[in-house]
Amino acid sequence: MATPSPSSFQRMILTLHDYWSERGCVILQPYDMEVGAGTFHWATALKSLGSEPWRAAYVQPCRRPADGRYGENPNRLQHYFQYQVLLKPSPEKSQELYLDSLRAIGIKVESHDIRFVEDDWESPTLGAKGLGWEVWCDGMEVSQFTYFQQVGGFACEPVSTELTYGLERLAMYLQGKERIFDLQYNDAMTYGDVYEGMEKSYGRFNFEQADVKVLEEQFDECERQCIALCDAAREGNKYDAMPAYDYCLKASHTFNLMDARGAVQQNARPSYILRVRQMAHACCAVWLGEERREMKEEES
Amino acid sequence: MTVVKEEKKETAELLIELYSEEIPWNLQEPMTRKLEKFLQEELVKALGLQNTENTFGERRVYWTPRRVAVGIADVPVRSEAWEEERRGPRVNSPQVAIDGFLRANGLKTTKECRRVADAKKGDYWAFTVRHIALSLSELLEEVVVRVIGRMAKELPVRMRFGKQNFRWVRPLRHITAVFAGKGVKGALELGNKENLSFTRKTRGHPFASSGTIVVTGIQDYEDKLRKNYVEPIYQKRFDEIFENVAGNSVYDYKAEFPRKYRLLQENACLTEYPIVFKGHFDEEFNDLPSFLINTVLSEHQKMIRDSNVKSGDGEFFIITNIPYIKQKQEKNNIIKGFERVVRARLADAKFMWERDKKTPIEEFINKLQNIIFHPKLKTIADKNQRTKRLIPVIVETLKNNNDDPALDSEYDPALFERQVDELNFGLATETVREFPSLQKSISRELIDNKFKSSASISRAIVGIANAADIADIADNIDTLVSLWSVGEKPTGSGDPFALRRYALGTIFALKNISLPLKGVFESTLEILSTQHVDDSPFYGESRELLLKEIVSFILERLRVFIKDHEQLPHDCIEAVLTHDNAQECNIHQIYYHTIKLAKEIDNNNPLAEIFYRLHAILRPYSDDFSSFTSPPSPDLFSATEERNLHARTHQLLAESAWQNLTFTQKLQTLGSLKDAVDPFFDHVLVIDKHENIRQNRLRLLYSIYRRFLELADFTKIHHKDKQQKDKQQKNKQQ
Repeated sequence: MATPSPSSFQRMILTLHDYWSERGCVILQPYDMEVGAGTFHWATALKSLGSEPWRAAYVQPCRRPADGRYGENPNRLQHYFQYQVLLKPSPEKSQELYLDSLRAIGIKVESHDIRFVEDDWESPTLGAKGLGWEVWCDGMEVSQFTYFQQVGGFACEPVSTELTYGLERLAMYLQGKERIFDLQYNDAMTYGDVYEGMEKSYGRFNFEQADVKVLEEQFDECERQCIALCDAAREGNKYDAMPAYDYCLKASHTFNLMDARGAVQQNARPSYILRVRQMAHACCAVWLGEERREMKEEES
Repeated sequence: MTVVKEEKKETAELLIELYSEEIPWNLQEPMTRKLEKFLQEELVKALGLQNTENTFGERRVYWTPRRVAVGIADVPVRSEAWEEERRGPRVNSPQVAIDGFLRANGLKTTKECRRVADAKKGDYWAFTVRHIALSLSELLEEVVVRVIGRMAKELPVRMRFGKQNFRWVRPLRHITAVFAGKGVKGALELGNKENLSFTRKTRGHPFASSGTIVVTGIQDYEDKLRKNYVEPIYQKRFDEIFENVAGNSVYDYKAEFPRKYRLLQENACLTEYPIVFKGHFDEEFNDLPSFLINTVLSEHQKMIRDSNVKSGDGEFFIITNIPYIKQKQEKNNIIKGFERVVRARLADAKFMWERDKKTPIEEFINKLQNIIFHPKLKTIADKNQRTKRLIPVIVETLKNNNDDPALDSEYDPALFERQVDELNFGLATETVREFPSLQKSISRELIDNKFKSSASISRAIVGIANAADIADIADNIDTLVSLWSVGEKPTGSGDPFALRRYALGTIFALKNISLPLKGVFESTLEILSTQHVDDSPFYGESRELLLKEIVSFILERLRVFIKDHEQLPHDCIEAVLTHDNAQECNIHQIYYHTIKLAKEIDNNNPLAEIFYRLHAILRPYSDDFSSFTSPPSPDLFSATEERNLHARTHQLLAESAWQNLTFTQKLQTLGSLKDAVDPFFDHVLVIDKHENIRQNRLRLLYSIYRRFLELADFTKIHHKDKQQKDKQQKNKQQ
């Protein structure tokens, strides 16, 4: 590689923390829930709604049970990390800010084929959508770049810029590695030293052991709890949305597990996804509280 | 509009560029065309010109991932003075209308207007606006703002950004506007007190060119962009890519490889200065199915395989956007980067494919028990059970409707049932989970792979259709009917279960096989009801209603299908589709009857003419034809013409002869009666004063008319004579 000094996985994260911290972001810790993407963190999903400005950056462990390959596939894990940045309102030079962050972690953008390729992002479970791109570096998707237009079915006003870095892919690129597990985590340990063992066990759980009946029941219970909490939310206290949102995400992850077990056919997906979306919508409605009523009046 | 005076025209070049963050590839050209069209229109309007076409000099259009631009030569620098007469309401109109007109023209009273005399419709108010000659520079801000506003309204995808209310395809970063070598003064309001000022500058390649470019004219714009690693002309970028990828191709690339051709077009829109490299993937991936490799390369990476090389050669083209890389080392790094991505993707696909190949097919079939088809319709395994029960029904119906002894002699239920399993097991494979679009190809490839020796089983031909096709039809029908019955119907705005596509698949499969679907649908509902003891929609009245809905849904899709595929006249389609026979939902029959009817009418078969003559007489009795059903009595005929008509028809149209005719023969038989029908109507008065004679003549006519009624709804056919008569009638009334 022409790129100087391959940086370790953790050094890369620390560099991104520094970079975004200097640009006014609060550096947060991961959300303590199983989520499929950094977007689901309340710091993005809920905070992107409403009018107050907000800038945050954090690492989010992501679980996508169906992506697991028992640790046998060099490029796929059921548990991996995303680096997530939310800038609200979206700064005028969002693209430049992003490219500078690539430079910060050691990618000389002038020496590579960097491209912004249309990828309008939509999360049907979150009722969220935005327009943007996947960012390619020599053909590899290294980030998702999105201007949020809608979350939980509500319009984002103002619009936020959301950046999602695929940390393992970026690190593989920087370190010139072909297997995720071969990544240098720090100077002494590899990524595999830290995470390889658990991939096998979770693979077995996700694909073979998770009890579909139990999961189905759990999904129903989480849904009940979430809706009940939203119904009981007190007028004006937006934070009542948060416990309810926890249950929305539990339901979402339960659905992902059922999916990994092969228990959900293509045709059944829409109705499950709709149920999660309705939960997310209810949570966002509580979160928006007063503002939402104002938005509605504006519309009419 | 009236042009007041003609001046010697002084002209100049106008260039407008709208520069934004990366525009989706398929919107670039349409946006540019809109820019071109609206700019032309608004200029014409601002300049007070009359012509809308060829008003100015040469136009050039440019689009790249980050910009859409138009340059127009020979644009007049001054508008012409002209007068515009605005016609207002009549003087006796309600005051509101008059006030509205005054307000719209910034007037206070009607004293400022002229009263124009109109003896026919009444006098009206008019107002003349005098546009004075202006320098175009002063008008251009409004022109550009209006053009952008119109474009924004018509964008299929648009977004807000930051706090602004303005919506564009992606954030709009600058507006370059140059006229007569100078920057156009002006700004676009973005809302929330933010403005985007016009500029005479633009940017080159986002990474290769560092500074800004000052633009003075059209050629200058092109030259400077090229110097800064942007080829502004799409066709040149496309040619460059095409030459490198397919320059040696002996094929008509566009016709032979439409998907690849489109991918080249896409790549020309993803790059500002394309450079094509060759990459290679390792031999270990050569044994992957070719369609899988192509999908991996093109779907995710927009890369392309050489169509000239033998399969098995791991060569592919990389289309990059990095013209400024000079060092070999850097170039090699980039190619290596692309190759690594391809390797990772292929390794992923291979991993799944190998596992699927090793997995016994029975294991996939067993897994279907865990895959929920729909929460209300249980699993895929349950669905397969239903489909298997439906197959004998379909085979039986086929036997009754097609002359095909093989359906009896070669029908083996076990073989057909096996097809059902083989149809859906792909759903349980890992490869399909990753590449859903390949479901059918993957299933087929796996079957071939696993049963190399007995591959012929899955293609077993049983008479008119092979077993796999019948299984496919049964599966489609179950999908349609079962999802419909649990309320998952397509709506105006959406079709989450793609039932329209299933309907289309069914129509396509049944184009050449006679299979009345109504009965099959009934059986499907019956089978469903045995699986769902508690659910009511499968019983009684609601089942009748369901059946009606499904039949009319299929017929509606069939209407669209015939229109799209055969370009037949609308009236012939309607005549067949709205006829009672269509309710049996025999796709094959409806399809061919429409084609044949259209062909006869196209061949000047006078069916409609004859029908409408009969129809005019017999329509009043349409509530009850029962008194005309018995044959006419020859004893009561008095005129030669009626004897002749009877002689021509009574054998031809008799039940035994008639039923032996094909649909076309029936149409031709009816059409051939013209020379007997016309003299009858010209010389015989049907409504005779004697009741028995009248009745007898109506019977004679009905014996022909009923044959028309059996075939199609001829009232839907446009009949020229009839149309003319209708018109005359209308004119008389007026």
